[in-house]
Amino acid sequence: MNENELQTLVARTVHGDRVAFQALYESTSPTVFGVLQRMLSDRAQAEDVLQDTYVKVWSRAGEYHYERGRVIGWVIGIARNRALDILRAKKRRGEVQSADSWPPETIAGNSGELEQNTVLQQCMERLAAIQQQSIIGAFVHGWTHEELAKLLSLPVGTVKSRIRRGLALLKDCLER
Amino acid sequence: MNIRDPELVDRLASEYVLGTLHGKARQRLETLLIDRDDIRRAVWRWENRLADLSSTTPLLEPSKRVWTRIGDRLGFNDKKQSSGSTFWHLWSAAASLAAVVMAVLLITSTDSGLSPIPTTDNADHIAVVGEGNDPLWLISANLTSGALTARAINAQAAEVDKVFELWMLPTSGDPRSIGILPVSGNTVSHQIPPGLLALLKESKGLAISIEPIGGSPTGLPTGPVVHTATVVGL
Repeated sequence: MNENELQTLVARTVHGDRVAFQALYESTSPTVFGVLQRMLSDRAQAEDVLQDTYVKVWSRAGEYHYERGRVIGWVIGIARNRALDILRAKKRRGEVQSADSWPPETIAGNSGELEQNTVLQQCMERLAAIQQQSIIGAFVHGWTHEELAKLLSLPVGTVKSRIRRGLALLKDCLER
Repeated sequence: MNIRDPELVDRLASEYVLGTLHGKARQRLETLLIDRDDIRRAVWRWENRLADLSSTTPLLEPSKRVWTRIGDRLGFNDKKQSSGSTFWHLWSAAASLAAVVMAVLLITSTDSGLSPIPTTDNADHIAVVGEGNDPLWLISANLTSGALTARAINAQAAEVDKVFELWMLPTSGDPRSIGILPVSGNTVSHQIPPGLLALLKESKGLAISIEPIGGSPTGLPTGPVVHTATVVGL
C-alpha cells in the first residue's frame, strides 16, 4: 500500500470509518509488531502494546497530518514510546536481561533483512561501527546510554558523544 | 539550558526519538511538545529519519486475537450500543433548545457591527451552537463538496485536558464523529468523507460532547453531551 493510500485510510479513520481503520491496521501492524517483538522479546507483551498502539491510532488519528511525514513513522513512534515505558519499568524491576548478551549490530549485519537499499541504510553505513551499533542498540532494542557503555566497554560520556555525533552525521547525510 | 536554540531542540528531539532521553529530561520534553510547534516538528522529522531502521526488523504477523481485542476496547464488537442509547437519551433532552439556536443564527449573521465570520465557501447549510445570545460556534458546510468550517465565537476550552468533539446524528445508528471543535476564536476546516456526507444530508442534527484530548477513545461519545444544534439549509 502506498503512502497516499495510507494517508487516506487515516483521514477516513478520523471520521470513524472502521473499515478504513481495519485496513490501516492490517497494512501496518506486521511492521509495528516486528519492531515491538524485537524491543520487548516477549510476544504476549508485544501484543498488548500493539493493542494500546492501535487504540491510540483510532483516538488520535485527527492529530496525524501529512506534514508529520509517513504514516508508518507516526504509528511506530506511538508504539515505541509505549514499549520504552514498559522496558524501563521492567529494567527497574530487574526483569530484563543485561546488555552483556546483546550481539552488537551494524547496518551491514542487518542488510540481509532489508527489503531495499534505503537512503538511511546508505547513510548508516558511512558511520563508524560503534556509532551504528549504538544507534541500532538504542532504537531497536531500547538500550540506555549506560547499557550501551557496558556492552561496548566505553565510558558513558563517550557513548553519549558518539551517539550525538552519529545522529548529526546521519542528519547531514539524509538531507543531502 | 536554552530550549529556544534550534540546534538544542534538534538534538533533544533526536535523542527523544532514539529513546536515549530519559527521566525528567524526557518528561520535560513531552510537556514542551504540547505547545511548542518547533519541538513537535523536530520530533516528527526524526521519527521519519529513523523509521527505516525498523526495516532491519523482520515483519511479524500478529495473531488475529489482537484485532479482536482492539475491537472490544473500542466498542466495535458491542451489539448493545449501550453508550449510544445513553447518548440518544441526552440528545432528546437537549433537542428542544434547537429553536433558540436558530434565532441566534439570524442575529449573528446579520449584525453589521461584527467582523465577518469565516464560513465555508459556497456554504449551503449552517448550524449555530449556543444558547440565547451566546453563540458558541458557527458551523457551515457545503454538502456537495463536503467542506465544513467550524468557527469558535464565544467557546472557550472546556477544561485543561478536555476538548469539544462535534458529532453528527444519523437518522438511525450511532453518532458519527466529525472532528474536534476549535475554541478561543479559532477556526478549523474539515473535509467530510462521502459516506458521512450522505448521512449528514439526512441527519437529525449535530451534538457536542466533552472528550479527552485527541477525541473520544471509543468512536462514540464518552463524555457529557453539552450542546446540540439543528442543521439548516440556506
